[in-house]
Amino acid sequence: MLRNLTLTIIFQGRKKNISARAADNLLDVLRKFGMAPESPCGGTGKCGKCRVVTVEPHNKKRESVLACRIFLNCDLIVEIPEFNKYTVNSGEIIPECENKPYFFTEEIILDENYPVLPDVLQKKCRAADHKTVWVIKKHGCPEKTLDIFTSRPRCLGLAVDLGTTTLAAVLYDLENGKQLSQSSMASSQRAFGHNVISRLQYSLQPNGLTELQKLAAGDITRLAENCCAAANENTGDIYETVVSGNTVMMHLAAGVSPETLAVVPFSPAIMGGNFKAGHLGIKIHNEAEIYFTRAIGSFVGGDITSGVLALNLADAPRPLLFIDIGTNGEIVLFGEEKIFACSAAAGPAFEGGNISCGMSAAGGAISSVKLMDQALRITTINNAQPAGICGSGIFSLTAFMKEYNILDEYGSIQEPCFSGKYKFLNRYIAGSGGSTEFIVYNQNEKKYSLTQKDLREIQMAKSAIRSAIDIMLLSAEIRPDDLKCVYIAGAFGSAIPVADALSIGLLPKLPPGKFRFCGNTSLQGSCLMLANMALREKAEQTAKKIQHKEIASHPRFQELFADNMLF
Amino acid sequence: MEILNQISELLQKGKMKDVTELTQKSLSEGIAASKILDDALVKGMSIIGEKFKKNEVYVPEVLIAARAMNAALKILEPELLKNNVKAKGIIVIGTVKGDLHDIGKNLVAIMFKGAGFTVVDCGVDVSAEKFVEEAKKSNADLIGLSALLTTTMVNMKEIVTKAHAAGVTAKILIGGAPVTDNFAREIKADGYAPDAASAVDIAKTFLN
Repeated sequence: MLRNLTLTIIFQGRKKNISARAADNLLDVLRKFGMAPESPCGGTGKCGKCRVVTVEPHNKKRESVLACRIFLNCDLIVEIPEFNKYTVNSGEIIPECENKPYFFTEEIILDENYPVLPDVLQKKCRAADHKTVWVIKKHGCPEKTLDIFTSRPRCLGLAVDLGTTTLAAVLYDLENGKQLSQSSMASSQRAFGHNVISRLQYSLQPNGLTELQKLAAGDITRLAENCCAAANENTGDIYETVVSGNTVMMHLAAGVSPETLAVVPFSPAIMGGNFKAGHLGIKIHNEAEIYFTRAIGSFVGGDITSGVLALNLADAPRPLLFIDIGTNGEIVLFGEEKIFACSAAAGPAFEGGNISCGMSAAGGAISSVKLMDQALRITTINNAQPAGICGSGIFSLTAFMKEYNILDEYGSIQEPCFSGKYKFLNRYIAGSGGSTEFIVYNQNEKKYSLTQKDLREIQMAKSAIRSAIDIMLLSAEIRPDDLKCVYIAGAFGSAIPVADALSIGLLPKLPPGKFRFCGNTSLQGSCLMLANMALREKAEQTAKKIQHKEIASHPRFQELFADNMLF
Repeated sequence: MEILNQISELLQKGKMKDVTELTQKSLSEGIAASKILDDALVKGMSIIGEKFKKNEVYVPEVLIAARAMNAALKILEPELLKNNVKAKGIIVIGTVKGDLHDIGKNLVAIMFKGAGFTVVDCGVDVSAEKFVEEAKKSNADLIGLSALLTTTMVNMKEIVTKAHAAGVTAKILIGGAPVTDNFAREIKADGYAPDAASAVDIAKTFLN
């Protein structure tokens, strides 16, 4: 019989005692109680991000350890660092549209002429003994009545971008189509890996799906709460939530096993559709509907459908390319007649994952670097004290290193042997052989750098996306020069300078004017689909026309993947 | 020979243009193609493989080196054929049915090619029947199976069973993230390799 142990967890400023058993894995225990630190690699000991501080109560021995590597053998005090707060998305600019939502309020004068109400509602009306009532209804054949009120109710809707690493939401007044508030947060599923494959694998374990579904529902509830708190509204007045996310995240949130996405031909079990909030455990109005935006196929999900709608690509001049850069990179190519989509397993490098000093685009993240008076000058988000390097910082740094030959075309960081005019660069480079690093900040005992290993991660991510773009163009027989426009979306879609992305070869060389950075288009499209029925219908129709393409099996993929590794 | 060491060094850095130029030069200086293959290309790739095993280099460097190796092999191949140089062995390789992951499988293929083997790459999502057919057709010494998912790893068993039933004598070597030595024994495969470089080492012990 294994001993019972007590862990005292210090998490988000609170103290909590939980019980565990000897030989339990610390990360597993923390996950069970929803208090796990981020774990991009899924608890395999590779990424070094699930670091916590443990204190042995009897001798006060403090140690900084990786939670996934610890098997318990005594009582412990465990201090969990806070997730990076993600702030970039608040202030997303949402395109305008006519307000014609599915859900609406109707005033009813109860007289002899009024047609029969559903039984339950009739009872409620008689009990209230009111002459005028209000109902919340949903358009459709037949119309559906959700609830009845004796005073004019609020009718709210929530648009959600369900990302793998972050979530963002906008609260709407469906009465007039007015945007009330925005909110964003880190996914609680981060403790189960930063990419969809590790989440998928986890969901296949006993109880894995239930556990991840609960977290997703909890996250959406939290976004609703945060948005409502900011707008002084009640979550119970939300009747519809439009959720756009990649296919794996959609399955997990809907509580449908994504097992078919684990094997060839990677077909989703559901493509989208309506679910009841009450059934999914999302705490808004119990009868509220959760609409999952229609997916395109395989790993290309509703977030892309949503982006296509937000940018109105169906009516834009062709050929055009739409790229959503996230943990999974998705690419849609609108040819003259056909539309193709594919996904590229870029990994989380461009979001700061698997990068030794990487972080989300939050306050203190180093977002760009330049040279001034023979010294590096860094810019951080909100001009806060440097705390790490985010996606745009990774682009900026890599492009900088390439420009000054600190990085060779094969992706190796050069040893510090600059002379002449650039001799001063030597002080930013440390180490030798395979363990060189480029140090961007080194003050007050804080050091932030890109290591050789980080560069290899960046190289893989860059090549995965670029090779996918190349294969898409090749298979549609479109030359890059023919493209009328390249739309780029992503959490940092509005923040990466074209010049940096072109310089490291992430994007095909085209005149900078052809690139358009569009921000979080998944969230933008969710808003449109919430506010306007016709646009939702249009998005569904477009999604059906897009053909999914598997690029990894293309005969030239391997060759391009190696070629595009070069900087 | 200095020039061959140079090729090996440049190959490890992935410098394709220099590698092909020096390979051409070595041939015109009268160095045998088989010697260039063994002492420059195979040597360079095995050093990369060792470093990869020890986590001193990562996937991009292996792929970039392989890119240079492939370019040099293209120059050597006609010469090798002319001189009737025999391959060290023949391996049929592929990712098993249901699985489309090919980076790991490609790395193993690269290492075998780099070690002087003839590699028959069946690609991804390969059925048991295809493995058996290709192994018979090429008279393979080895079959290499790769799987990255716990859900597809189980398909390896069927391949081993069908290969044995069809009288295929090639040794079967398996690998991939979820695969273990125990699993290899359980499904009666001949060996398990934890990484691409080890796969070649193990294969060599089978052939001797």
